[in-house]
Amino acid sequence: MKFSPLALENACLVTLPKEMIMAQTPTIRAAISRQIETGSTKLVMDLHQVEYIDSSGLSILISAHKLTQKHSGEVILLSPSAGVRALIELTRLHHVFTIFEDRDAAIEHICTL
Amino acid sequence: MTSNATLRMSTAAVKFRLDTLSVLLVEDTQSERNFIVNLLQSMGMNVSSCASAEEAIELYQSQMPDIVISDWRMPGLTGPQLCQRLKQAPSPPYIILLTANNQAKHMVEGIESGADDFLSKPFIPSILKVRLLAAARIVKMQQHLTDQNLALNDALSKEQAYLAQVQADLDSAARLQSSLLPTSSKLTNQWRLATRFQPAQDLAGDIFQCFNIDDSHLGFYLLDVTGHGIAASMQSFTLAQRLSCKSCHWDSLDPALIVTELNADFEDPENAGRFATLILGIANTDSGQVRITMAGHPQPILLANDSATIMSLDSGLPLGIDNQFQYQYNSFFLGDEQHLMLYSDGLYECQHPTYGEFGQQRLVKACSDAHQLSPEALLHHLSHVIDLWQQNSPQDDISMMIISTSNMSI
Repeated sequence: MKFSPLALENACLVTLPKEMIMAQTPTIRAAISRQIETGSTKLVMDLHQVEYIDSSGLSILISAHKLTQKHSGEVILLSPSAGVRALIELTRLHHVFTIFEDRDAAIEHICTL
Repeated sequence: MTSNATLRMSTAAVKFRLDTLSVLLVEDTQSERNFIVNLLQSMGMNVSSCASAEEAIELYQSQMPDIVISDWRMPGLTGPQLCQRLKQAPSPPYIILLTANNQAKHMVEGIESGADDFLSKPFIPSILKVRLLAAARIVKMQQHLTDQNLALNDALSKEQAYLAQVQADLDSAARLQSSLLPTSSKLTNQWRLATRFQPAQDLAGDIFQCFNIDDSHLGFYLLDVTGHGIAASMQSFTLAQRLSCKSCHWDSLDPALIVTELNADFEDPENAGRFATLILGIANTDSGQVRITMAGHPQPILLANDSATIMSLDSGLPLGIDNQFQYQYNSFFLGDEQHLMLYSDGLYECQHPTYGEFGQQRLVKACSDAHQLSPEALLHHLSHVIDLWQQNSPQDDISMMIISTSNMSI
């Protein structure tokens, strides 16, 4: 997992790892929560590397979403694979998150005040 | 500071470090024995003495001294022989052998017998003092280690007892959880129910129920809280509790209302992003009309005589995402010889090391291929297929429930 700062001070691009399943969730969640608490309230979650995600992996996205909302921030998703997108749509989470396919468009969206 | 004062201080320091220790002196010559006993007593040590190794062995067992000082050559057992015996004890004393000569041969014999130190006679009292101080350091270090080991063992056994208690609690919680699942397969108007429940760990995040609301209606739900284990099962208990409560509006016959209220109350105090997917429905057993509200849950499968199809009902958000969300319900008729199968995602998300996810398509095909089976047999068949797929290492909780209308031909 990688955090890359963006042009806007409180925006950040989060590159998520290949696997987001039960065993990894506590570490990933803690890292992202810390990132939000320290001021990065606008996050692009880059999912292009994610091959496996289960419902506990999705819960990371949910907790980030709720936490950023408290700070009037936002979480958007970038480039989920077909399988990951299917799970997001099955659980109706595409109604909660805006999903981008284009990296530049996602970054432009999150950096627009 | 005068040299006298220094000497007094060092004597005091020696006393301070030696006076907690006990010593047993073994010496056959009485004059020597008296001399050394006096010397040791002047250092503040707790001294006992005897004239032979045989006596020493007896005294050792009753007194357990920290240090044994023994002469080399004695009638009966020699110093090294005594040393060998004493060193076989579970916590042997520190042993200093007194020797009349300084020959290398003697030293080797002494070391082989397990002695810790040697002192050649005649010795200067201050040398004995220094050797005893070295002994005191080692004895105290050993005592410290022994105490630490005891404390560690004690902590370990407490920990083990605690774990055993937790395991016992988990077992009873798992029994409690199973007892909350439907027990009767007979529903109102001769509708029937078949269920299957396989938690991944002791406690599951899944829970489901099906019961009669009144003479013609039955209510059912299957919910799956993110993750499994204790936290997930507490959440699913809470939700099940809400759904079984009198304040839950089953009598409204409106599943959307029930789910909207349930979602509004959903709490996630740790902000762990915990959410639950739910399928909840009410069936009219007279007309066959079924109303179902979906909250991000996998689509049910419609089983008919010769086919199985995955439904495509409208679904709302999972519970716990947006507490203002207004849910809707779907309405359809369950015909004669049709069955409605509800399940949790553990059923098709399980992974095979080579072939990957089992998947919904494979699930529907498995149901379709086995259409001649009774609902109970179908559930048995599916859980066998899934066990093979995930190679008997459960990855997520699996719950299945089949509701059948009265007119069953299979």
